[in-house]
Amino acid sequence: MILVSLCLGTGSAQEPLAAPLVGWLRDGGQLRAMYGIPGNFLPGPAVRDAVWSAAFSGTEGVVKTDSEVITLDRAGQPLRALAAPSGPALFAFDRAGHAEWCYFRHLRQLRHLAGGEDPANLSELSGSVLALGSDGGNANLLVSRGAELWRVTVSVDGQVLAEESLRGLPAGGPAAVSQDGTIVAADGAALVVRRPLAEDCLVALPARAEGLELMGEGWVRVGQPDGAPPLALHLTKAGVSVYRLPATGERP
Amino acid sequence: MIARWLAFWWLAAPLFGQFGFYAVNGGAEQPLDTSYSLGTAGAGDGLAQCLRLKNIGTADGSVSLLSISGAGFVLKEVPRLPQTLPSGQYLEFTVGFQANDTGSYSASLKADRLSVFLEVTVTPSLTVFVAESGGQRRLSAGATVDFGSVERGSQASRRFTLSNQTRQGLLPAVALSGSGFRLDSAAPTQLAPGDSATFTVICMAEQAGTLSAVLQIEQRQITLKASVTEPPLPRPAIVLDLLNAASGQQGTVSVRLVSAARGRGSGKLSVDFRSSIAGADDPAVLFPLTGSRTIPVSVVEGDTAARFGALSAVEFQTGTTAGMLLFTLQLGGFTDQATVTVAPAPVHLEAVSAARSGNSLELRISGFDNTRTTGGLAFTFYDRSGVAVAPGKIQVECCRGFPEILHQCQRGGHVCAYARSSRLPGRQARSIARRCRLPTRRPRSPASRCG
Repeated sequence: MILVSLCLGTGSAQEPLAAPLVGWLRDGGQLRAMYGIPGNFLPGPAVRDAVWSAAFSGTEGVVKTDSEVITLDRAGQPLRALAAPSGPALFAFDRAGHAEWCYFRHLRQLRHLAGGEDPANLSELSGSVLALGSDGGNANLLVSRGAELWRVTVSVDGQVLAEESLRGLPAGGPAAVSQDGTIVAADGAALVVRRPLAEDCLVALPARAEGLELMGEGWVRVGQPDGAPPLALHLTKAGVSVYRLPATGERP
Repeated sequence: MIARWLAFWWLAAPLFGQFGFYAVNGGAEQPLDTSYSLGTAGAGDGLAQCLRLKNIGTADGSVSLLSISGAGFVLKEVPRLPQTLPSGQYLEFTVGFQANDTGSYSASLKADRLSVFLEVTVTPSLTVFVAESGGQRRLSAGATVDFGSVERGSQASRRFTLSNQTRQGLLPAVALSGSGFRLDSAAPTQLAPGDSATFTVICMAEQAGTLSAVLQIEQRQITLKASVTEPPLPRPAIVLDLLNAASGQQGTVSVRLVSAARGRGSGKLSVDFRSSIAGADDPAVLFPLTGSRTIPVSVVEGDTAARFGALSAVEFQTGTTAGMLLFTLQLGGFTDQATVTVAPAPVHLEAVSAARSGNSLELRISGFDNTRTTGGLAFTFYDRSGVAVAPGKIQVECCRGFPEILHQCQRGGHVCAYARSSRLPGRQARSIARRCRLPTRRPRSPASRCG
């Protein structure tokens, strides 16, 4: 399999041929690229260890280590780093795929990645934050409150601007929000996919989902229990597909 | 002559005084005096006693003769003689005994001029038989009854006969010790002269492995043993579920059994790729669950399909190279195979995107060529009404060496190659972008990394 990138013009006469990049994902605490096309994947080598959380939009990525939030370019090279508290984090990208928001789950803090503002304290926010999205300069938090999932819009300084109950979406499992606003919420061994202005789609899984992370444009990593390799949810205009990603050598 | 004979005894006597006989029981030595009882044996039963001749002196001693004389007694495993034994060393051997008639038996065991008196009492006892191979085998003490190979979950039995061939009534004492065997019925309590009785021992094969027990009949110990094996697995068959036998697919494979399994077993399923392109492999042909071309399978009782860990089916990837996927299953002594043929196909384009970047057009195409024969690309841009945009077909010699590049890709990874494109005047790039409504991207340096 090969990726052809061509530049036709006067500005650049050389471009690479390379294996197509599906995305970047966290696998057993390691960050690695996943190459291929839908249904045909090959994992790349681990390029970073001790990764708490990771998300990629296809344009940029963000990884959370024990002490930093690192923004990466498409090739996985660091663009900038911010000091961060220990623990996992949630990330959100703007519509162009640039890393925009970070939510530190242990401290319940929201931070704008591009700005220099202090993190906003959301400890007063009721419910458990499952996922993070972007909404034109504000952050959209998917919050589990009892059996309901809510979308809470928060400004950069932590002010709650709007709240909306997302009826029909499960609130008990992990969730993810892609940069185009698509919500994926886990319900045991099934995923509910809600796209803007479209009917919900139910996707069956071989086992319950343990963690959802964006791994590329239109790709969501679905963690699997008992050390099984993760699944990849592919969101396209034509529909939704689920694939098994190859296990890597480091897997127990 | 007399003087020479006396001289011999004067020299030899101290030497034989430095030896002693010992009985070995349970690893412990017991010095023998002038006599030793080997114990009691049933009529027809054998006895065996391990003995040692030990040099208990401080100097080397020579042994040239070891013998036993007495009805029913024999020497077994006699060491080669003559031998010189250093101080503290010993020769080990066995005295065996067997007699069919009751009474007291004795023998003289000699080592050169050292001797000890051995005694055995033979008592009336039952004659024991086991039914085997359509006949009756007589069992003496120390005999072994092998139940053979028994499938786990099933039972095997042997019928024993006790016969009183003496002139007095006997009380059979039958006991069984050890796991995996049981007496099917109570043993007879009294047998008059000439009478016989039977009982059955059942082997209960509950776990694979070797079973052993001791059947005690009067003073006889009879070893029972059996080898418990797993029941044979039913014949397995590979079941492939692949909607489209083509490159770039994930299908599933499962293993059906022709009937429910009575036992358990394990094996492996492998997929081998036979490329249509000489010398080419495709590392993407694999089972994602293991990230390799093999995956373990297992079966437990009651299964009608093999398991892959907790799953009843697993995914496989067809890769992006024309050829044949050969699945081979090895399970429970069976081998099954199935194939998927991936035919050569035109170049597959998975995704195409275009954008104007300054005075250039940037195209990003993802796809594969499963024949690895691509030689060059030509691009023609069309506007929304389907009219070709000037300058028409743009030939790009980007793919010279494509097969070699793909070969490198198949070795595991990612590869970079650079191609010089046809040069377009900047106004043409802008014209194409405008007429084809291509988005504009910020100019960026040519990508030079491959992952």
